[in-house]
Amino acid sequence: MNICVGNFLEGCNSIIKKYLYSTFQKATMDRNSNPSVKLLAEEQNLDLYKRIFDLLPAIVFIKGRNNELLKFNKAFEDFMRISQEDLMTKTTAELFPEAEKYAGDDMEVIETAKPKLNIIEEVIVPGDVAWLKTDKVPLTNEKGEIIGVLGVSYEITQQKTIQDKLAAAQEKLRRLNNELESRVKERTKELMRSNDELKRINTDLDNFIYIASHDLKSPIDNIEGFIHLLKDSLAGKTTEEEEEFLDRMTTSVNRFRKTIIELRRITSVQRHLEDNVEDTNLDTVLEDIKTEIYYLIENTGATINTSFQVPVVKYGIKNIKSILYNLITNAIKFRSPERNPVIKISTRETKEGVLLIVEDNGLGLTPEEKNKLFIMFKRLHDHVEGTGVGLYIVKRIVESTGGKIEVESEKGKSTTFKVLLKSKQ
Amino acid sequence: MSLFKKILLVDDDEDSNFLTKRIIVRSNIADEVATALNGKEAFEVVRKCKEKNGEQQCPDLVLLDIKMPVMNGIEFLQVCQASNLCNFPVVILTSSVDETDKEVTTKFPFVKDYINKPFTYEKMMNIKSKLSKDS
Repeated sequence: MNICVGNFLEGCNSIIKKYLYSTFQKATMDRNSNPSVKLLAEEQNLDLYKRIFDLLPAIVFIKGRNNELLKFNKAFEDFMRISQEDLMTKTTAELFPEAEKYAGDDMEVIETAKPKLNIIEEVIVPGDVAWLKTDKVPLTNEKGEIIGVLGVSYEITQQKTIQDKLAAAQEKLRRLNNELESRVKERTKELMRSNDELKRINTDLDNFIYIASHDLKSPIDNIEGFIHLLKDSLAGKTTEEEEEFLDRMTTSVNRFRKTIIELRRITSVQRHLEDNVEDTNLDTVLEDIKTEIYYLIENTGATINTSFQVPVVKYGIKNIKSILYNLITNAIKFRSPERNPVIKISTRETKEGVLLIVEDNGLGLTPEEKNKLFIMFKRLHDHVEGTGVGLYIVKRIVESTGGKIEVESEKGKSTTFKVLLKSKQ
Repeated sequence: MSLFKKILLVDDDEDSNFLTKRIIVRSNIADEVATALNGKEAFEVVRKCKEKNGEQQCPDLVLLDIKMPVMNGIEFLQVCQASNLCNFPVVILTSSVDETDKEVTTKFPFVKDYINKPFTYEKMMNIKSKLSKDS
């Protein structure tokens, strides 16, 4: 029998209502001790209704206008854990410590003639406390007069306990989340502080190199000047050995000067990394470079071929010039003694950005040499002049805007640099 | 008679001043070589000689360093220009490798040359021939 599943008051059919109504009348009479009134003709039907009534899992009760308990089912008895007799004889105030509160709801239903649904409340029963969800509706007689309240309750203690536990768990989770969030915030702050500190140290270091290189360069210029002067003064008066001393002094001074200048180049790259991005014509940049290294090209018989699928790139002009300058001069410096250098420079569009390719027919690199290629002051070929900062500078420029540089090479044959140019937005 | 009556060396590096002075003396192109350790001192020399109008020889060539304390070379050029006292050629003589230094200083009309240290006899001769042509 599932006629009373769900919301009792909406789900129950007229059979139950009929039973409740008739028993209400009977119970009123019983309470009023007026046995002379014959209440029900169909005793058999009444018995059937009562059995159904008692089988209901919901707690069902009827209260009169004066808050007296008139009728209840088996579930009610079970819930209250006291005998039917006690239930019938005791007043609601005796049965429920908080009867007044319930009476208030009942009066509201009676006075307004409107149901009051989903009353969630804690109920104290002998030896226990339980949670009930109760619907209360006005009960009327055949004339439509309100004669009491019909109540249907479901015990929701278990649900409530779970709900409370869930709420507690949620609260705990919320607290943990907050804690986590504040820890993340704190950590982020720390990281930002460290980052600022690193930036500051980096700037300090750059400034130090910048200042140190200037301060070192002045005395070295003086030494060189004095050597010149000394050479002039001693012209024709020195021995061959003394001449060699002076020459070696000059060589050492020159090497020192070159190192200082390279150090300056590195800090100057740092200063230009923030260069404005602009439309840069590669042919123009290349012509500039060719003019600057005219003698190097002439003396080595180098050829530069270009194929620019992308002729204009969005990149800082000083930076792109520095990249091309270093890659081209490298290709010429590390040429094969067996052939004239041929450098092929090309660009093409890729999904990630513009790819700049510089390929030579020079000395080439072994896999081990390739790994050491971009390290500052690392020179791989002793017989070739260089300070080992060119490729380091290129890598720094390229990576500062999120690009990358790769190298492919075959020892004794060729080297190809592939540079992915990305412009910072 | 020498090409210049008075050359003023402006540099905080005294070794550099010593070296430059020696080269000038040896090349015999100036009657007198004066030194100033920064732009402010140099400007004082220029201002005083202009004030005294003929009592004191004014420099007819200034060899100017850029990075100096108190008043650097660029500031000296600005002050000179603003005061209209610079009726002499200036040659920048510096250890700086900053391109911007060159860009900024060579914009001044009275800056006739920009040379990197070390100063040598050959460089002095180059200045001499360049200024002779200009005049």
